[in-house]
Amino acid sequence: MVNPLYILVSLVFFALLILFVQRFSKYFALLATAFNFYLSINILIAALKKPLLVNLGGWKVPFCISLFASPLSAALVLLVSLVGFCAVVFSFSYIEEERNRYYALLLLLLAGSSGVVLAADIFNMFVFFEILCISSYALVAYQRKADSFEAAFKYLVQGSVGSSFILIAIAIIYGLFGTLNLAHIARHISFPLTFSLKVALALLVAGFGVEAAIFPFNFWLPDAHPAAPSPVSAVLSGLAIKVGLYAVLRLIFTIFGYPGVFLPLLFLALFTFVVGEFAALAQGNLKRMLAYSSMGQIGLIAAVMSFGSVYTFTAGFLQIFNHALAKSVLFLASGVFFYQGHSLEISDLKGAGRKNVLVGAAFAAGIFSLVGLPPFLGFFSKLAILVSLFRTQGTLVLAYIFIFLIVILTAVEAAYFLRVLGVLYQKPAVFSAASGGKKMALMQIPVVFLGLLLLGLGLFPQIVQKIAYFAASSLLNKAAYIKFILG
Amino acid sequence: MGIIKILLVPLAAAFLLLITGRTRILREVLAVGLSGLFLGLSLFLYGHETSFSLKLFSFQLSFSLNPLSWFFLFMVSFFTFLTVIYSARFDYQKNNLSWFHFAFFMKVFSMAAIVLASDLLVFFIFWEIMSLFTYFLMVQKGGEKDFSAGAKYLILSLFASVVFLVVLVSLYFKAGSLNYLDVSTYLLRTNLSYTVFVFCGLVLAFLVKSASFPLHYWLPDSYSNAPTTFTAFLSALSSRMGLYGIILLIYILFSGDLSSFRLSHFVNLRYILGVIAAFTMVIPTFTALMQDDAKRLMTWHSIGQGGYMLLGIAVGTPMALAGGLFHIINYASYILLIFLGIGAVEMRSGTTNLNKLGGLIKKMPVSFLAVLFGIIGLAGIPPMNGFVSKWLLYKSTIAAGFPFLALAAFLGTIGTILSVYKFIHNIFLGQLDGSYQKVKEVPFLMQLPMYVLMVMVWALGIFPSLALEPISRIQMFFGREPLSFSTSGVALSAGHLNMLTINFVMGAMLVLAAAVFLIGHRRIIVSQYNNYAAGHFLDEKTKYNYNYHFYPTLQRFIDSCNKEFINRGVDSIARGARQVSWFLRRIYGGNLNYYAWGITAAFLIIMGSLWFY
Repeated sequence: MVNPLYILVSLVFFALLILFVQRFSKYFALLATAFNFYLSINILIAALKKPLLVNLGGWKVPFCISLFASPLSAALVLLVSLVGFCAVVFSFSYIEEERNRYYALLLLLLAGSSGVVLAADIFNMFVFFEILCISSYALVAYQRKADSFEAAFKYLVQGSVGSSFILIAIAIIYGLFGTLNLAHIARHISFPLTFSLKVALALLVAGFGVEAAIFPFNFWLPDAHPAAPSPVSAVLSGLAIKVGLYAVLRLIFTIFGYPGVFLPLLFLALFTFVVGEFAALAQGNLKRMLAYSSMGQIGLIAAVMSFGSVYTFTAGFLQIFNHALAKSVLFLASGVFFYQGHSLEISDLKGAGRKNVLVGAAFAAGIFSLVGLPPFLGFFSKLAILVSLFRTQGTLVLAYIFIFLIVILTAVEAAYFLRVLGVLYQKPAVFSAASGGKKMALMQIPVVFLGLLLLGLGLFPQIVQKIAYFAASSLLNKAAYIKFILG
Repeated sequence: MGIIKILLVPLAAAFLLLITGRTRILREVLAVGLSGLFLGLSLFLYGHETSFSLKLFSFQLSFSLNPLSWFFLFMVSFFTFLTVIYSARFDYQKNNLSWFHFAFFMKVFSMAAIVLASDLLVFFIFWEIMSLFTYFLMVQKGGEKDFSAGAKYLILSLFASVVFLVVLVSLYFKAGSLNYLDVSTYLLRTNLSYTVFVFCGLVLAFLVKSASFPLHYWLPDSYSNAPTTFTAFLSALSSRMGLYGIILLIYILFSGDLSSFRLSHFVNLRYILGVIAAFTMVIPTFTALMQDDAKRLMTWHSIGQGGYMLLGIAVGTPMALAGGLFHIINYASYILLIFLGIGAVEMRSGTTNLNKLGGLIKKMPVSFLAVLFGIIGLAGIPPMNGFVSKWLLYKSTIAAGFPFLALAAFLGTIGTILSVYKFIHNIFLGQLDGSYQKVKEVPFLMQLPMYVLMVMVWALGIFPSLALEPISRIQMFFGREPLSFSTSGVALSAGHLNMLTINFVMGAMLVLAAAVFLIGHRRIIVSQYNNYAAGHFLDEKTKYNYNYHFYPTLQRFIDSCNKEFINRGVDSIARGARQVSWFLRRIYGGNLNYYAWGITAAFLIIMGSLWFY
């Protein structure tokens, strides 16, 4: 049972099943994601002991298609299936039209995300990446409104530019080494890089950077994330951008084996951090604000990770977990508010938290976790980030600038989040909720579950910390990666 | 094990009250019982010194009980107990009370944990939890203003605490551990600039919490918006956690004289804190004078009085330190007393607006006495406890060679006297408004804490040794010379103050005044419903001749260096942030061509920067 292949097979199988059977789509989706969740827990447990490698097609490495579940990949797969599962449960009553297409696309989105993370050769990585991107373009346009079409189109254009960058880079690499297997490529690369490899690296960073929403490749994000239905926004914000970031980091630090701080990414990530957090401050629409906040957070994560030491990776992974869970809570909760009040303008949400006690509490938990207050998970990731920055040697000035930015931007973040929280609990309420009854209960379950998870992981951070540490070491260890795959 | 027991009590109370919040009797019995148990346990711990470390989840949480933490623990438990008894009959909003009690006891729990912590990380974690639950208490009423005031508070304290966290992490790497002892041994041998960095980074969070000038602007809005019983609690204790932090910083972590940290020949850290204290004493106190709302007036005093405590802590001679610490407990006792009085008035009359109240003395005699005792203490007039601590502070600042700080302290006292006179007069004295005819005294359970506090305020005035005894233990714990005191005052060697004598003199004067009053016959007794005038036109509504707007020049001056400049500063930061935000948003203008150019340019930038490797 512990085989990463089943994850992809089950997701794609159910996606196709939904398209052909045309009925029971939500139950199929639930079944697929629940199975996926169960499987990914097993895979993570197995991968923490020993990474898993699956070779397909009957050929030997490096000629076959291989899937590689390192602790890093397994952890991200778990995150994908967790958030995916919650999104599907949430969609049960949230999505009422064209369910077949919706669930098929959502499952494909999850399959694409898992595939990028698991793929051990660059072309399959690209293929899964395309699955991820294309299904998310379609999901952004799912609501068939003018602005969602516009957002999806912009996303499509920019995503295609990114994809073509990646394709060119793959062509360059294949031309140089005649192989597509990541480990095999990694074996051929040594520093200093040749000119063609430099071009390839820059193209890969830029190409995957579009999905990772690193400034200035993220022009699509503030339109696309709010335009999608809330559960999809949760998946896009919580997962998809991190998958893009995974690809960038895997390529830079494992495959290219970049030593030390990767400055280009660091600078862009710091910009992303500043731009995202500040731009969120002036938003009047809740989901748009959350989208900008995701941009800021991904900037924070990417900046921490581009310092390239095992500590910063650990801290970055903690923050990935924190942000994926917290942002999913926030997007799903905003979905509840939208479902009831049909508006996401912050001024229309007065008193919404009082109407939905549990959802409001989960929303608050998400906010406090993102701001970094104990006893939520966010506190430990913030602590870990600061600790890891003090541990970096050689580039102290940059680390200090970064710390300074964290100090300032935490206050900015607190400012916009507390404004929303204040509105949610304000009296007198203008928010009027039609009673949803059973439907509402079903939507509350994933929100509350994720909120509790934030609290629980905040009380027992060592679980996540251990996973993050293993993931970080597997990201940084080029030699072990090559040795494990090529034998 | 005493420590863990005492921490578990408020924690258990918080969760039990969250469950039982809907049934009133059970809730109040539980709250009173558990806070009583909390007080009992903390009394039992007097004189013990234990340390204790506990592996909770993934942390090594180390706690220790020392005289300093006992002092604060006692205050937290004692004033919690009184507040809880009082609020059992106080009818604030009926809804959402379970959550309210939960937040309150979580706050008490985190305060107890803060004072018992012996590790900076534990301290920090509970510090953050305390800030969070303080925010919840502040926004309890749920109006737009409450939230904006609460957000002001939480944003500022989050900012300060991130700075705190940065310093903490850097200390962790330098000192190897965050235990107070290790940190203090490290700070003794490190260089000056790093020490100053640590000091400034940590003191920022404490100054924010203790609402010291110029970081005080958040306090009046947020405290006066909370329900009155909790305004009382917040005023009496919450801000003082900041002072606990400062004491910890100076006397435990730095374990030395602040004046040795020189920034230049004249400027050292001690002066800087002294100047902050001076501004905090004077400006907020005079701002209090201008307030029209009873709660707001007193919250301004809770800022101003913090200045006195900070003064004593900063000056740091045995007498000054004793004065500062003594002032903390004195202040807590009388400010709580005053707020309980205000709460009683608010509950019966429905308002705290000083211009609408008046003449309640006969209707609410106990509350009047409570407020009277409280303001005598607050103004630092004998025979109440405030006088003793202020006397210690005046004397020690002059003796230590800080005449200007002493002047600031005197000035602050003048402002206090002026404002408390206005305060008590506008509530209790003068003519009674017709609408308050049916007002009666609050129930006994609410009077009880007032009696206790009245006794305390006076008893500490007659026998300061009751408090000076634990304070001298604290001083010995710091490795400093304790203040020598006698039962009823300060010993002869240290400057001689005998409160018994002063009480006798005061009593004698009172008797004399009463005699004069009784002998002189020409008195006209005006009924409280009558109106009388001194040459002015009066009507049924205005029963009383009064003047107002006495100090426009002073007001302008105070406003200019207080509200205006602080609010303008904060507003301009907010506006600046918003402008940056608008500017940065324009990047996402929606033009696809421009986006494509952006992507290409960024690719070229990456390419270019890779070129140099």
